Amino acid sequence: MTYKREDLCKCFAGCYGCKGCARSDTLAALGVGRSAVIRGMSDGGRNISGRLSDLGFTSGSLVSCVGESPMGGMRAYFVRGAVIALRDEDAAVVVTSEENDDGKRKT
Amino acid sequence: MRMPQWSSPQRKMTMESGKLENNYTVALAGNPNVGKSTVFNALTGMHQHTGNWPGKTVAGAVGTFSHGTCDITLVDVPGTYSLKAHSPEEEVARDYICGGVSDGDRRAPDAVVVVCDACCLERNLILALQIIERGLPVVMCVNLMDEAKKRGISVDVSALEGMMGIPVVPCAARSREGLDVLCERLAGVLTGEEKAVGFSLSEDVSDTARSIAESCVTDSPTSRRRDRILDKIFTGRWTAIPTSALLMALVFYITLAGATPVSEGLSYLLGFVERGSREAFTWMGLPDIVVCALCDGVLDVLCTVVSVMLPPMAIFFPLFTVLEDLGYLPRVAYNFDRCFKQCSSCGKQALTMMMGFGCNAAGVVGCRIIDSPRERLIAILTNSFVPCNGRFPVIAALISVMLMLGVGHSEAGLSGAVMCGVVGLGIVLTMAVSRLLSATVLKGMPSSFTLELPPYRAPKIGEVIVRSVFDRTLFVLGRAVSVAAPAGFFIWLLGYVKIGGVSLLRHITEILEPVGRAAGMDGVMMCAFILALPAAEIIIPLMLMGYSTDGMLSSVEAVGEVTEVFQAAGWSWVTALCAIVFTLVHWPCSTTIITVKKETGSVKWAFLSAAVPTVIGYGLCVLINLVFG
Repeated sequence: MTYKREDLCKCFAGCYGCKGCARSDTLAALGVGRSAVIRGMSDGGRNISGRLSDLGFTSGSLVSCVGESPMGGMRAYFVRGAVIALRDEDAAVVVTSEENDDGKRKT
Repeated sequence: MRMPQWSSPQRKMTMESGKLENNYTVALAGNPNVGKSTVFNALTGMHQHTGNWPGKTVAGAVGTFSHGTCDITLVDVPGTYSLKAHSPEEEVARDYICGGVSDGDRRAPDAVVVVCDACCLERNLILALQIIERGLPVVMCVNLMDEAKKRGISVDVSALEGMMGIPVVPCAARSREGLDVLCERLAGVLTGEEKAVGFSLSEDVSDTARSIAESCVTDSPTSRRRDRILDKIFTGRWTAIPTSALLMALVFYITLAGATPVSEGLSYLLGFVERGSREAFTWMGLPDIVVCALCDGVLDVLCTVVSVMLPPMAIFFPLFTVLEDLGYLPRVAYNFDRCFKQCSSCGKQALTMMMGFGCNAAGVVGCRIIDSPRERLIAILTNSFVPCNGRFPVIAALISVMLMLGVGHSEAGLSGAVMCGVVGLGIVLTMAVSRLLSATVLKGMPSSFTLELPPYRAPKIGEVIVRSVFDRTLFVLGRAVSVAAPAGFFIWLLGYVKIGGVSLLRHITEILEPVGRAAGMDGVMMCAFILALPAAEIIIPLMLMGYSTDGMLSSVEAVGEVTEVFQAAGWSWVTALCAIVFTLVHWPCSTTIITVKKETGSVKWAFLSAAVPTVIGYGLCVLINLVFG
């Protein structure tokens, strides 16, 4: 899935799906305690998808959000056996589809 | 997240390109935080100190060991998540593992040992598979098997070996388990007895990694419960900031409380050394003036620097290393990232700032943990805004003087409150200046910031002491001593040389008088600040020396006496306040400036690291003088 320029979120720098946006299908929108499957990256030219995939954020990986920084702005994700903390605007690059409670993936 | 000072080992490697028989080069690769350095030290017998700073192998260490007929040169490659390098440090790692492309005479290693963390094998496999794909002989070392077992994660090593097609050795490097097998199989691979070149990949590396991990690793659902509970305390919404404040306060308290008696003892002992060497020099028949220069100048300053710098560092750094080994430090960066993001910097600056409280030079070196060059420079340039262990006692003494001059008495509670204010001012200035720098000379958006929160691990005390004492304390002390000795001679010379019956020191003091006056201070104080460039600890002794009639460096006396001397010299509480602010914010010590030069490789940044706090500190003092003076 690719996003166009118009999809850019208005709330802060070049982000795609943080809190307060219409987009709810990125990692940044994943609540603490929820899990999702990574579908792809939509890097907006920020050139971080490479680093994220090195850290284990690759298509098909199961991610769960395990915590939020006490001051906000950063969240910790459990992915491929490790806990990685990302800033919300970086997490917004990762497109996900959330798992339902019964474990089946949303389409 | 690892970075080397790569030049020296690299040179070493190229020199060896004329290869001897049975002499092999093996690279030790792996993700960060998998205990690569532990494996390295266990194999090479800790002949090398790897120069670890939080989560990072700083110098690419080279060590040798032999197994059977093989002499193996082991190279500790900085940790990397992937061969698709995304930072200069990772490029270095990739170039080394794959055999350099830029340097014609560098060859690829004979084999690569990939160290993996058994607790998160899936991600570690990505790097291992990428290296196998390059066609290099690989031996995989699945480290931290003991920890995985404790967590209820089991790794089927033989199945893994079958799927990877390379030797896979389970290890627990901390207790040396499995290392003999590792050596044996590595030797087998090197001599060609064992096949270690794996398969060619048909599908994407990360998919392969997932499918291999799925069939070889059994994870229990409770395996990370302890970490998550600890995370709730250390990074929880309400508990994170109180616990980190408490821990830091505890570290500072232990450091200051422990350092004072040790410092006194050390200075007493070194006093003996000084007197002894004076007698020895006299006995050797050296001329009086040389003996004076050596003892009153060089040795005196040297002893002061060692006795005031060594104890706090020897206490602070091990404590800091314990926090690092526990896995707590990345959590601090995680907790405080937001504050630093507001200043266009990153959370890891919280860590380097904390190291700066111990020693600014160490804090500057610690900035190597910051991946982005822009944010690293910001952290380096603003590090000296927090008072280090050297300036802390000076500020404390000056606060007592200020309170005596202002309210007539000095109470512990009141001076504690003022101290907190001073430290707070330092932190606020760090943030403000970070912001200022990123808006001016270091323009740019904050780059992405990713941070691994490693599992909590019990620290290994032996390793902590070795690393903190050898790699940090002695490293910083060495630099300090090399600066203090010539500076000591210079200070002595200023007091000794007389022009027109007045010492050079007095002349300089008079020249500096108007400069000091404008900022609410005087010439003696400015002169003391300048001469205390090698170590801020000697600011007060230097001031006393300037005010005294004989112009000799005297040891620090009781606060009461000091206050009397200062009062006689015309100090008011505003003078003391200006002195406090200027102690907090002026040029960093020469050790720090040299370190900045070494870390950034540029005189420009070293100059800026001294100029920025000087201008701000002087400005603040002028302002204070205008308002209160």
